[in-house]
Amino acid sequence: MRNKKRGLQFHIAISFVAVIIALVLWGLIRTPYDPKVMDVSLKLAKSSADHLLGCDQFGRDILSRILVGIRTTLMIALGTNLIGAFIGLLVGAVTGYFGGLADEVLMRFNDAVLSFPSILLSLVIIALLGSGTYQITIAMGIVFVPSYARIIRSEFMKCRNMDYVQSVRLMGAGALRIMFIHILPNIRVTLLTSLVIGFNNAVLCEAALSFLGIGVQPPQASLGLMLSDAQAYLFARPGYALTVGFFMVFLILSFALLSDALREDAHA
Amino acid sequence: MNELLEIRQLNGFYKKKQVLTGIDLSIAPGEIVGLVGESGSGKSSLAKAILHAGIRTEGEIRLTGKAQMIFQDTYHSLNPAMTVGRIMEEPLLIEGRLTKEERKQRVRDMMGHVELDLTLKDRYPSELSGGQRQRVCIGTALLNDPKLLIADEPVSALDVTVQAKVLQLLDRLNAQDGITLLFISHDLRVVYELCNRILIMKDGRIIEQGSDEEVFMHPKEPYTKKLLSAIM
Amino acid sequence: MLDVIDLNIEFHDHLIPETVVYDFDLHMDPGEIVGIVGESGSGKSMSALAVAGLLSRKDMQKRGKILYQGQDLLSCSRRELRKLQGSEIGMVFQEPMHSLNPLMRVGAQVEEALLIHTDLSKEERRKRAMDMLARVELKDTERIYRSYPHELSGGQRQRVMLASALICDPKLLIADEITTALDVTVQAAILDLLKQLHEERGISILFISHDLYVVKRICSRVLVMQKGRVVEEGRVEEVFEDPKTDYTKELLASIPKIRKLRQ
Repeated sequence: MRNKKRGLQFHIAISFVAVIIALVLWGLIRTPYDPKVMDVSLKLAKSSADHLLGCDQFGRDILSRILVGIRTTLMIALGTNLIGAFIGLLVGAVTGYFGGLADEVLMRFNDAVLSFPSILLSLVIIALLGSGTYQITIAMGIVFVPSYARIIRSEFMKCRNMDYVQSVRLMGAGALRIMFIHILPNIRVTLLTSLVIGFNNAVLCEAALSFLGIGVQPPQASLGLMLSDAQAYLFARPGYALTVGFFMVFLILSFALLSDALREDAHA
Repeated sequence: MNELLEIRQLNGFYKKKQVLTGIDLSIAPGEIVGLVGESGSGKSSLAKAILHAGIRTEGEIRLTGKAQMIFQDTYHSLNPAMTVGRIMEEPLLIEGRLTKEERKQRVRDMMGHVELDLTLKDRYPSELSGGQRQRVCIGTALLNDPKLLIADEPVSALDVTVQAKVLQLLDRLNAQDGITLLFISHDLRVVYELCNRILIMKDGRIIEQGSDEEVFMHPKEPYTKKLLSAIM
Repeated sequence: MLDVIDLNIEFHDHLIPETVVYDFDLHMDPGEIVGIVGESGSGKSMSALAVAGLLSRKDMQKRGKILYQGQDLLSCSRRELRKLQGSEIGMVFQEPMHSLNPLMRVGAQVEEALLIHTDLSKEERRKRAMDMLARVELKDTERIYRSYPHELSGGQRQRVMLASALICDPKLLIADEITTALDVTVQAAILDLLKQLHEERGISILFISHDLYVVKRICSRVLVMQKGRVVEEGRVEEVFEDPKTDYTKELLASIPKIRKLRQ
């Protein structure tokens, strides 16, 4: 067998993601300090041997808060995409496979939802649910449904008339069997890459909502919330905002690289 | 003899367009019938009509027992995400009567029957050659126990040496197992080699039919003569 | 006019380099029709693409010489190669649907080579294109000239491809499986047309096909390829009547004969 040459990008993406996972694990096992303990004497302290990345406006260790914050942000992104992908998969599979009236109705509804900016729509849902970690996960999950539904629908439409689907249909396989046993495994690459892209969108969306103060609530930490805090001290302590910003960019860059690499790998 | 398939005065429509006009056709068990036509002649539409797949029909189609179909594009006929063994097991799973061990045994037997090496069981379709893939398609279709096998250009995409072997296989399955075959092709040479009876289709109608010798040696229609002259 | 000497083609886009053509030799005289037959993976199309100068220079390594009227296509500059392509060497492929730009009118595509290789005015180009469309026996050339590829049938598209390949009067035409996707009656008509163009213009044709029968109808000489190597070469009658190698014998035996398996 000939082996494919894996691109440099693939290796970079994998190592970046490995770094992120290591950071999350570090945060899970033991943070250098308790991320919630305040110390007024250390207010906005510069980085030092004790506090590698310095301290925030309440004297909390920034490194510890980032380690926990990345975890919160990632958990929200994961939850959001699981909700979005699961409901989107059901909607997309049904509309794409059957077509017809169900498709028309659901897709026009989908278009209507998609035409709102996602932040605005999340705001509306959060207004109904209240703010907090679980609430924004659910709100963003709902907002993510239409884009998943659309991608999955087009994949199902492509596959539903393939010869292999025709032949299992002739064998007497039911619709559910065809949809989930025969077609689903064939769209896994598309699903995986959209999950990774969705992950990035969720990270950004969480940051925006927490920045607006309706996402993750203090004293919990998330990257968006920390960035919102840091903004007030942009001139007094630019390092704070830059540090949080760096981690956010790193997170997004890693997943963007990963999704590109996955797609290329599948097409090679 | 009781006919396996009987079609009387069949009209077929795809969307608004009429693709089949006044088709009369009967196939007896054990026959190999060749259906010849150029692109747009309606030969694939007739197959779809028999299988009730995507063609709206008027008229009568009576089929005793199940029908299965194999296609020209062997790559797209097999689920790329499943191994050969899993693909061939599928009809048995749908039927749902056999135990896991029995299913495995049936798949192994069938692989031998269509002359597939057992080591290919765990390969994916993309790792097989075109001829091997067509054998998988044939084996899978047969595991469903059809009375009629409709083969739509099954060898057109294959290399000539492979073509010959797949034709031999179809011929043997007919002789040994009594599979009835409706063989659709644009290639008169292949049809002549395999079939006992030949139908010529043009513009949605069967314009000529008869035994292979009749059609080849004494064609009546000018169109049939033209087809023959193109390959002689 | 065409001499291919010891051509080897090796792919380098995978970890292990893979040779797809070994020691390919071909000599063509002006006005000859030479066929290359082989099954998939035999390297016939690769050799043809190499002769047309269409293989990527990056991912594959080519050794040997492809001399077209004394000029080596493998070592000449891209500029010189482009000058030959289209004007001296024309190429037609199997899939007429994918070889034509779906968004461009047929007329403009037929004229493309004239636009690149000549200084003819718009009117002259149009006239040449209309003539050429008539020459490939298309009826209603006015309508064809203005239509888009999807409005034509497979046979018409293949004729359009021929017209655009022949418009600059190339001396060598490379035809890669051009009848494979067509109905038999259309196939026969296209072969007749090629033969006729060959007689009128004395154009040399390198005809690649998996179909021995088609090759027999049109070529005077034939090369049989298997797994990247030429296994047999000779005049068509010789190869068909008296094949030397086992592989050629097997190929010939596989052509469905007007004879039954059973009986």
